[in-house]
Amino acid sequence: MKAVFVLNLKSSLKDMYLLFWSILMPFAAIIALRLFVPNYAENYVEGIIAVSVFFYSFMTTAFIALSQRKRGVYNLLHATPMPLWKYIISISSSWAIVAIILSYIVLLFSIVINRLDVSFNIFLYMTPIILIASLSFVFFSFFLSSLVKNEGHLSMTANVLMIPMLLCSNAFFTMEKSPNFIQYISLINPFEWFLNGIKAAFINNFSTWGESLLLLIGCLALTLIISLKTFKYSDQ
Amino acid sequence: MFNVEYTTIIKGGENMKKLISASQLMKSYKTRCVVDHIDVDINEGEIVALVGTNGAGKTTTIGMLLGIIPQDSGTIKYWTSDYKKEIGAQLQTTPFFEGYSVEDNLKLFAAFYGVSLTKMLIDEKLAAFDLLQVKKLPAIKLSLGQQKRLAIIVTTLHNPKLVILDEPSAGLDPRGQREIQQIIKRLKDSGVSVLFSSDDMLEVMNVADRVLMMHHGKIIANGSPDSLMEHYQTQNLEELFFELTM
Repeated sequence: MKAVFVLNLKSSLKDMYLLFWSILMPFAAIIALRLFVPNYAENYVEGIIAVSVFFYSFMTTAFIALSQRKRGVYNLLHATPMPLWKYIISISSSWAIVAIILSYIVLLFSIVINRLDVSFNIFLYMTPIILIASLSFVFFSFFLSSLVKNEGHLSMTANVLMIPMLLCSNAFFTMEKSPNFIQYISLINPFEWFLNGIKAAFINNFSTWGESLLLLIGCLALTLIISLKTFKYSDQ
Repeated sequence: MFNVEYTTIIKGGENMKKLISASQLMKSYKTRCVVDHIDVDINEGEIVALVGTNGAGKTTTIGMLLGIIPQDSGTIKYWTSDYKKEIGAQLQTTPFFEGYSVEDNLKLFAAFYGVSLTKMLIDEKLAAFDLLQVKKLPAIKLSLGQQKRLAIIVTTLHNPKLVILDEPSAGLDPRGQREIQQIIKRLKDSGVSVLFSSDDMLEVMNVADRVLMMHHGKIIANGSPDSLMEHYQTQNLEELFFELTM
């Protein structure tokens, strides 16, 4: 497992194109908010971090998994004695580490640009939240990639899932004045739990942080089971 | 449609240890029966060729023997309970992980087999297959011949007893095909049994100890190339194949 984790981490960190766009978009958002809404810019930092982690861990990895399946490497994996759960956990863990690194970079940039006054504890409390959440999203991305036949289907299906998750959350606007059904959706929205965890880390709200972590751990277990049960080694 | 009596002619294989014994294997996709109740035995120390035209059922048969395609019916017995640890597989598409170099692909597949490779061992294996100079390149950027050779290296990383190759020389030029044939012979010389599929009868004649000829999902002949040709009074396997499938 260690070798698979290390090799995938090395490969992911060498993908400069992916890393560039995963960092550039949040940077651009932070700068734009600072320029055009300077009074509210720091309120969106948590949302930007959460969205960038979400996109990397969910969308990007789903496309990678689909690509590997279409190449046939999962078929070859099936012919080896490597248990599927070991492979999925190793690969997902390496992607989760990359997501954490990306979030740190975005956070540090945001601290500099917005001149935020944050303590070191923020890294301590944010890390497990991001780790568990990104693992859950990666596991779910395996499930998503098993559902579809091609990149077009994947793009559409990912949007159908991701957009409601983003809109039914407090990432960029408050849910307080939204219709009741939207608020109910936000209660069972894993992205909202993730976001709440990051926000709690920022303001040292241990109660909310702990609650988010527990919900995300439950989500992690569920998505791992789903990904294992639905994993397809090939398109046949 | 053909009408031929199934013939088994094996010379000198009766006392060999069976590595795989598959009986009455059947596989259908929707209404199409792709593998139609076939028996396949692979003995220790043999190079067995599974031959037939496109769509004969070779890849599906190999998939079932590797445990990656579940059979609809029939049984497969292996000489060991942990057969995946003892079999090396090369699939028709020679897939490699995108974003990984040649060297990293080898390390990754070695990890799948629970094997740890030293740098020296990796270099040795790559050098033996004339791939040392490309070890840092992305594996998917290699030429077809290089990918085929790399795929065969992957099959040997864990020192298997049996290597199964699905059309290892398909798409290669004559030089590339000759290289693959030599590699297969070297595998046998080093004590590894080989099952490979091919639609090239000349290649099979050059390499195989025994031939399993498939057509429309059935095994229509099983024996050494010489004994089959002698029995059917043909000059070569191609002629034999045409005769059996007329």
